[in-house]
Amino acid sequence: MREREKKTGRKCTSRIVSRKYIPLAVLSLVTRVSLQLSKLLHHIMSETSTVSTQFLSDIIGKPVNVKLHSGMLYTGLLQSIDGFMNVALAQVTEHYESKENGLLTKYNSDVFLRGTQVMYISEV
Amino acid sequence: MSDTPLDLLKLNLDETVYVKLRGARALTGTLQAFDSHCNIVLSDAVETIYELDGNGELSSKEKKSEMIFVRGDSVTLITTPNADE
Repeated sequence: MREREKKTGRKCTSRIVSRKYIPLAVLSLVTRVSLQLSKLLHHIMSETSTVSTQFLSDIIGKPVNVKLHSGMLYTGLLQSIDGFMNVALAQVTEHYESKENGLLTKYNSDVFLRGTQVMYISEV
Repeated sequence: MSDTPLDLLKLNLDETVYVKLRGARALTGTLQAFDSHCNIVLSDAVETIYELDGNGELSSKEKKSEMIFVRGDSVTLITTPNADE
């Protein structure tokens, strides 16, 4: 009998305790899941889809204008670009400030432009 | 397409390259080495310095050197010279 009472008593209390804490448990589960989700979302956002990185990866292979601090304007197909804004272009023409100022040079092979010298990159 | 511009520059090692520098200068020579700062070592290099004389006419001087180290911050452009140059 004693043992039974003990057992039932324990069962009773444990049930009450667990019922009491159901909302808490649900709450903690929800917060944990949402925390993970927001972490995942943040990860995805920072890895792939900031506006600037999206732009830079979207324009690879397309004709672009690259202006340097010297005022030189380079137009060509964007071969590749890196985090330093180093740029590789193909079929490049060189103008001063704008295309209206006449062609200065035409480069037949790939051209490497140093990132620190780049003022802007725009799609033609 | 995942190659960075500096990876593409590796293809020019041991080839003749044309390097544009700040201050109306250019170098032509054989690319021996480079790094991520664009520090460059050229052999059999010819430096061309462009100047405007008193009449506003463009003149150029040439300086030759057997081996030259160029600090990266003065580099603006690197390519292989056109056939007609």
